[in-house]
Amino acid sequence: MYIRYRWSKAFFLAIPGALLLIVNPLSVRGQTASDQQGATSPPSGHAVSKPYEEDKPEFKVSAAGMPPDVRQGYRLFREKCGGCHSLNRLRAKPDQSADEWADVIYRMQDMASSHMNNAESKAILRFAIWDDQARAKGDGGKDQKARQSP
Amino acid sequence: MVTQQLFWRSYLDGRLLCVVVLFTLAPSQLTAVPQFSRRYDLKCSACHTIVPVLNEQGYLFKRLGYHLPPALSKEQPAPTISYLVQQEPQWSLSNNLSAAVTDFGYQAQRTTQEGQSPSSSSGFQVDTWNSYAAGWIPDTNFFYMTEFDIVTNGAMSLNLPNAYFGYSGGTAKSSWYVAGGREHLQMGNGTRAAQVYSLIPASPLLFESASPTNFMVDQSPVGIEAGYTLASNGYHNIFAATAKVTNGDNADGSEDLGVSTKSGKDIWLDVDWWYAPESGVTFLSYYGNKDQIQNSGLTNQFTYRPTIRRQGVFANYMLDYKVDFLGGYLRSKDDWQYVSGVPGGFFQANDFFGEIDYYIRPGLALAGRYDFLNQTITNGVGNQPIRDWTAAVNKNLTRSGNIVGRVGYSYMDGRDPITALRSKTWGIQADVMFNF
Repeated sequence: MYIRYRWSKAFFLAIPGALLLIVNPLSVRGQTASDQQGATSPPSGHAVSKPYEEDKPEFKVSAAGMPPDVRQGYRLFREKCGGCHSLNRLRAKPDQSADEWADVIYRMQDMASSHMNNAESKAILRFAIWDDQARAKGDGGKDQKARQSP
Repeated sequence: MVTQQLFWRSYLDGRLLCVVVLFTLAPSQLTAVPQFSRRYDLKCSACHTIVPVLNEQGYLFKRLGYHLPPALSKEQPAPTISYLVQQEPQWSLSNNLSAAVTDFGYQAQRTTQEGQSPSSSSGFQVDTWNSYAAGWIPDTNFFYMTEFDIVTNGAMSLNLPNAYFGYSGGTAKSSWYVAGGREHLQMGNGTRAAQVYSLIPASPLLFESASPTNFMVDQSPVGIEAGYTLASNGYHNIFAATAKVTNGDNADGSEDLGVSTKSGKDIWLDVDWWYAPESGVTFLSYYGNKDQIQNSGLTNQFTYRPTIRRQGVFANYMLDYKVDFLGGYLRSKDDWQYVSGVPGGFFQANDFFGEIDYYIRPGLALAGRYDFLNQTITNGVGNQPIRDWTAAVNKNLTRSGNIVGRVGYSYMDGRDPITALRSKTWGIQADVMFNF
């Protein structure tokens, strides 16, 4: 009886909190994190409710056709970048130039807990450029086939 | 009379030891605050190795007033905290509130104590259900943090162990903050080995065990705090110092949350040096006093005001991002009286722990820890050790790391520092932490 009371009271307090999160009525600034990253958002200015994009299955690329140095970059890309970011979100940025990729990757190297040295950053950059070129050449179709849920 | 005193002393100190035993199994309060992950579209592992263990970035995030540490390079000047505030995304409830930070699990344990029948307990329970509101006040350098506990250690218990606000300034490279309110002494402070959270469900015993003077490091007093942080380019080295002045403890060991007749305040100091990658050294010191009720419930009960002293050194070394070696030492020295008005010497303890965490891959880790408390009271029953062996497996059950499964085992064997009564406890715990 006591346990039932405990549970019911806990849920009684938690459910309004959860509803508040879903409704999410308050917003006092006009820009979301996704806006800053260049992702699309509805024009209303309200925060987009996508709390766990990071939980979706992440893309995988077949390493069969990759040069060895690119393969190493791909492994580091998954390990280092994927430690904090959804790889799908990173790869959703089209038309990134090599300089832009270099800017992003070397900036990340200077973040706390990124744990990347220069050689690793270069390897990740090689993979990012190779991947962009492969997709631009139309290998994106093959790549799509190679995608698999981990 | 002496027999009666011994009985009561045994009874009371048995309870004290049971408290220590309880903490070897009970999970620490959770502090994963998933609204921060939602704010930046980052996985939990951006700030935690595995929830709730903070990494260097999570540590800095708190010290910058809950703003994400930016890249620091020699080519670019370090951004100011005000600039970081301007770059923050839209303020919303979902990125400032976490409604359900919970822990559901199964525990089984058996305790054998000299002079008493063995006791066993087991069961499923909601270990914790906490809600957090934490973040920044839009367009200002002010920040706030509240933790509202609904369920603690399986029991309905409404509590607000963290409720403070503060202001941060300076630059990302050289920052400072001041804060006031009720705040956990060690939460979010200290390098990896000095944090109260670990991959073992319970914190190191030296943080959790209550001394005979009813003091423990794992507490949330009310007070004011100031901190300074200096980071090198790329965060290869971080130096940080934090000082707090707090009310301290009541006679029963509970936190003194308001005005009291105790004129002196307690002082806590933490100095950290992180050296990449994810390794560091911490010096910790606490100095204060409290009203201690001695011989509680007996005819010779009296109250005196012991001085409480704690000094500790903690260090960890992360090898190849795979194996983390952690160790800590805490020295205790509290004034002690057996007879009213007659100084009786000291309660002293030399407490250690050593821990190895092995990250098999991101989101999966094995951990093992050995705790050793060596406690003595002047003219008492001599040095009394308590040893605790614990092991645990942690696994992220989602890619973002917001749901974590854990299984832990603990075996503790020790003697009470006052009565030398021996107690042994083993226990297993399996739980799932859910952070939303």
